[in-house]
Amino acid sequence: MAFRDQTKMGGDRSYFTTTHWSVVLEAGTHDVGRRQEAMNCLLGRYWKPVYCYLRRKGHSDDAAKDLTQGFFEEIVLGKQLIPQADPRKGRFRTFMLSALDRYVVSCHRARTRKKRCPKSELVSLDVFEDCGLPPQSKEMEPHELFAHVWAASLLDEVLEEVKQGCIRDGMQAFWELFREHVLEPITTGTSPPPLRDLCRRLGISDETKAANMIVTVKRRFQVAMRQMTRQHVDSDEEVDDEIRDLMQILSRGRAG
Amino acid sequence: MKGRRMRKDTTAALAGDKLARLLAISFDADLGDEQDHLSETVRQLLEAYLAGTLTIEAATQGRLRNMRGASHGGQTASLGEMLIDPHSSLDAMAEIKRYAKHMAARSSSEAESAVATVIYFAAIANGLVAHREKITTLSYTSLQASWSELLGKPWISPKLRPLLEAACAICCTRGAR
Repeated sequence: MAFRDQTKMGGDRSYFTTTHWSVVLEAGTHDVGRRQEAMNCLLGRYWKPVYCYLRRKGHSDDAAKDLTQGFFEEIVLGKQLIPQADPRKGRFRTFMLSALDRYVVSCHRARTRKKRCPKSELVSLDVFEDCGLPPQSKEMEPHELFAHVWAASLLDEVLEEVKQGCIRDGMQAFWELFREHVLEPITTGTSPPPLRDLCRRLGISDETKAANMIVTVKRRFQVAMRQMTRQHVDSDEEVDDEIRDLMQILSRGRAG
Repeated sequence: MKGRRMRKDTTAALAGDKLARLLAISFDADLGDEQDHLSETVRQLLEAYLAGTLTIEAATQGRLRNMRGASHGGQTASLGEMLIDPHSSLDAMAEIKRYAKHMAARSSSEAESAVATVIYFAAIANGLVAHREKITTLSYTSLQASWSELLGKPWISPKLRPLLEAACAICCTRGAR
């Protein structure tokens, strides 16, 4: 379903499909229940990248949480940030980071004027642990960490959707095959177990069938990944570019 | 919201290259023919390196960019483009070969080792086909055997095939001498 704004006012400016969020937010602005629902949706998707970015910038745990909440309440929801995103000016991730940076600066200024704003204390990077992030997070630039957590959140959501879809459709064996033969070898850096062993264990008649089952789940993964990514880009054609862009950021600096 | 906690089972705990490989599942071009996961992984990895989606180390990239800039008036190119370009310099091929050797030595998986091998032999092939120079101490017979083996792999990139075939043909002539 396309959520593109069809208005011609203001010229032919196009919008990210994140206008999915725009629609949700616009509809919920004056309705407390809808507003809360919209807020929960937004937080579910974007909370962690924003929080980790702020932590990497040196804010304490509490300050980062307060700033994250303030950013979503005051800027994203309060000032209707998402409809203002213009794909011609760059990627949605970059747009969101710029808005976040401006918000943090404005909070700092407000605090120095003794206005009420989330307290923000800069702390040592030593406390930036126990966030479930890889050891190299400390060496990443804040925007790289943001992209890392952004991609991870996207993957978490996609994988959960594919898994739940398989369970819902009675295809648990499909998911298990995919998990053991595709996901785990990537995440653990090990070779995939032989298909014949998996067939024996999961009660699948032959290896060709197992290979086809894996393909089925991969296709579901592709569809889910494209649907999720589509919410952050302006057109279907840009979906692959966005995924490749993330891949490039994630693999940057990695020695071969 | 303060009660919100990071989930320990999130993919955020993975290194960036592993996240990139998970994302790469989105680019399986021909899922219908998949029979072997390793082959598929190698194919994906190789395509990603050739296209520049997965990047080689920054220092090597910088040196290659400089070499490319000198021979192509500042134009940049992906690793794949450089390997098949007959105008790529011999120095650039030697640099890629050196990097591939390093990559193979440090590879953490069979798939990555295979990709490093392809890049290594493709650089040598370019040197031989485009410059008529053998930038390795390996014999023509040994090279021909290696290229033939690579050409027999289901995951070898179609972009590299003509280069490897041409290199094989040269080996055939020179090796027989």
